[in-house]
Amino acid sequence: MAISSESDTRQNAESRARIVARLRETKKAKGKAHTLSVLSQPVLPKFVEREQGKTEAFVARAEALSCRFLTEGKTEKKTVAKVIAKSSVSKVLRDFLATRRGKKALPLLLFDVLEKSYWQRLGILKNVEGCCRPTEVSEEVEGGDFEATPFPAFSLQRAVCAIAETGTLVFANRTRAQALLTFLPTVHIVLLAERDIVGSLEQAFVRVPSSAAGLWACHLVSGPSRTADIEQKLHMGAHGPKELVVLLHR
Amino acid sequence: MTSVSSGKSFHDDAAAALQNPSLQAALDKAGAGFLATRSRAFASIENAQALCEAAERVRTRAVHDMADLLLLFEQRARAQGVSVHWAETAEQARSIVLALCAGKRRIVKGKSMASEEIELNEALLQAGAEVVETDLGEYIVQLAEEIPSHIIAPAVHKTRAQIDALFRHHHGGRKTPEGRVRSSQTLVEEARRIIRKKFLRAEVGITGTNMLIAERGAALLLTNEGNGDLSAIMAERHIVLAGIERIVASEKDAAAVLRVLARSATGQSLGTYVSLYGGTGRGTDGTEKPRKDMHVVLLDNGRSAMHGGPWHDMLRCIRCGACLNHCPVYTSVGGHAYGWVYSGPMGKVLSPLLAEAGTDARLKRRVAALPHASSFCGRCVEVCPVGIPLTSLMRKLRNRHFERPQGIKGWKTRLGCLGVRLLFAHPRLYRSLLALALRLLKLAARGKGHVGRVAWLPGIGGWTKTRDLPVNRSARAAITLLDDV
Ligand code: SF4
Repeated sequence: MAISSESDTRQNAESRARIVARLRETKKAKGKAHTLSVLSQPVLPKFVEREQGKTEAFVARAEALSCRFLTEGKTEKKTVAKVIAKSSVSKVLRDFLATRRGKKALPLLLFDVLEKSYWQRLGILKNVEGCCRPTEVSEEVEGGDFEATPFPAFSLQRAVCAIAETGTLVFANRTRAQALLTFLPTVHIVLLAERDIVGSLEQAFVRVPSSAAGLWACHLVSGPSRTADIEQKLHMGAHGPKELVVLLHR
Repeated sequence: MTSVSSGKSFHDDAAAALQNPSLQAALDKAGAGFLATRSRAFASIENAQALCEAAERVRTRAVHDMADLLLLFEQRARAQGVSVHWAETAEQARSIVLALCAGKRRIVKGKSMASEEIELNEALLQAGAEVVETDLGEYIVQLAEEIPSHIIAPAVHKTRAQIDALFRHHHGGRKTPEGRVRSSQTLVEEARRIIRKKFLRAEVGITGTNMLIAERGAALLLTNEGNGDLSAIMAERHIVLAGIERIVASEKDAAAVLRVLARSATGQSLGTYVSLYGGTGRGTDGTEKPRKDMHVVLLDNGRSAMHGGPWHDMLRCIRCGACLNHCPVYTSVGGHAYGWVYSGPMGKVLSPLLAEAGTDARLKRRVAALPHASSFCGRCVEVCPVGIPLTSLMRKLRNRHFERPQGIKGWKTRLGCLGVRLLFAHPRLYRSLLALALRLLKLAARGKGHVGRVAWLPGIGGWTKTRDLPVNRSARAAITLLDDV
């Protein structure tokens, strides 16, 4: 690879030295006009300070961004109904998928191979049979197989946390396969525990593991993918998921 | 695709833009929307001012400590297997990216102003690669072989019928019967299908970044469509192009900036996707073999020369676009007239300064005049979330433009300036000449067909070409006043 050759490294070092020198020199000229002890405490919007009511705030904001929460009953409007028991996650998911069963072929339900045992323990993989085809995403499915099935219908993924301030779901993806679950499917189904709802952006970042702990990419997702590039009309599913569906459990 | 527009000067292009009815309609429509959503977004939080101040402090510190933070970023990023390249000039940045793309043909791109600044697409196309812009608006203007007319809504000047025709031409398929235009929903889906194929086959993904987070050694990317993320994820190689001033210290600092960034840009509380990239990804088989490689190109191109000098404050800019949406000049003429990637008030300051670092003499001449295209109404300063004194920077740039020997051209202008200087230094002379001038104006305003108005004046023909000078009661009152003195 040309870029790692001896001369390129030397050029890189020289450019770095010159840019840094220019910045350092002028920093002195600027004196200490700026106090550097900034933001010892983050400034939050007034509405975030309440610790109580995080769940309501998160649900309301996420719904305003076109997220959909699955419930056990059919027409429940109250937030409490949107927090379901962990034991009923599998059934609620099945009921949802049953309404979306395709006419010809069963749609794919993609999940991460590393999470397989988790979904098994929840009883999901067995329960959804007949409504969809659970498919693990691993090395082989990366790239190549997505071409064969360019429109995987559903994906199932766990969120590390959610942010009440903005109605955002947070994913810490360690592999590329996991990142594909977040962006490629038409419908992104997310499992979130109520205790993982945090108040502010800052609190969410604390929960995101470092790269040393295996993180590759972190994604803060607020609603389905959208665009308003054609005549300012808003449409979902520009490139990413068209629908964002949340299973919020106790 | 070229980033320099057709006319010779801002003047010519602005005049053409004002005569373009479809552009005018689009600008009207888009303009009002941006203003309303932004003001709603800020009105809904009680302490908006405090949030802006926090973001300003974060940016002030980041710019002040730029050297140390960049070095910290490099160290952390490298430790995670990311390569960091330093580019002093646009040319250097181009050759770094070209080397990274050597032997690769299929390239997808997320939106990046820095890549337009260094005219990367042309370079890649010349090298024989296929480059696809994946932001829907950018994709449309790329198909049309035009340049974006707005930083947030690049294809705002295109109607649905034009886009439909463009898609038919480039995507093939059946012709629609005369007079029928497909719905925007159908068009969005068609673009999704076509661009999805490009993502799946891409060898290199090139994106910009909104912030580089030093402590994490990661690049932050904010989009609504998710196209930046697919560009970053799908290809084996991810190249991030970043101006060196994109640096911030920590995630906490990034959060403070994020709170005002999307609110200022589109009125959202956060963009749909905010992603951090700072590693190479592991295989699912548990091996340590990296799945991807990632490169960050740090672009100086005139920025370090701004540091510590009169233009230092401009480095704080977070590219939110609020100053554009609130600028009476920008909302009348659109982005094309500015002749370069950065437009509106921020472009009037940034373009001349960045162009100076380059070698393009034509561009330098063209953008040097931009600071003059302002009425100094000051709305940009009011809305800028990080408190950049745009008008005073423009004023300083104007002064500098005139101080330079080549600044004031032509003997007429020079004579005029000399005269004004003389007048302002002698108040009595000034007053009596003004009284005389006002009397003459009154006489001139008796002309046929425009009583009370002056249709043409010597010396300021450019101004009176499009409007008459009213000589109304206040002018007469001024004469009376002067007579009393
Ligand atoms: S100058 Fe201020 S308002 Fe304009 S784009 Fe930059 S940060 Fe936004």
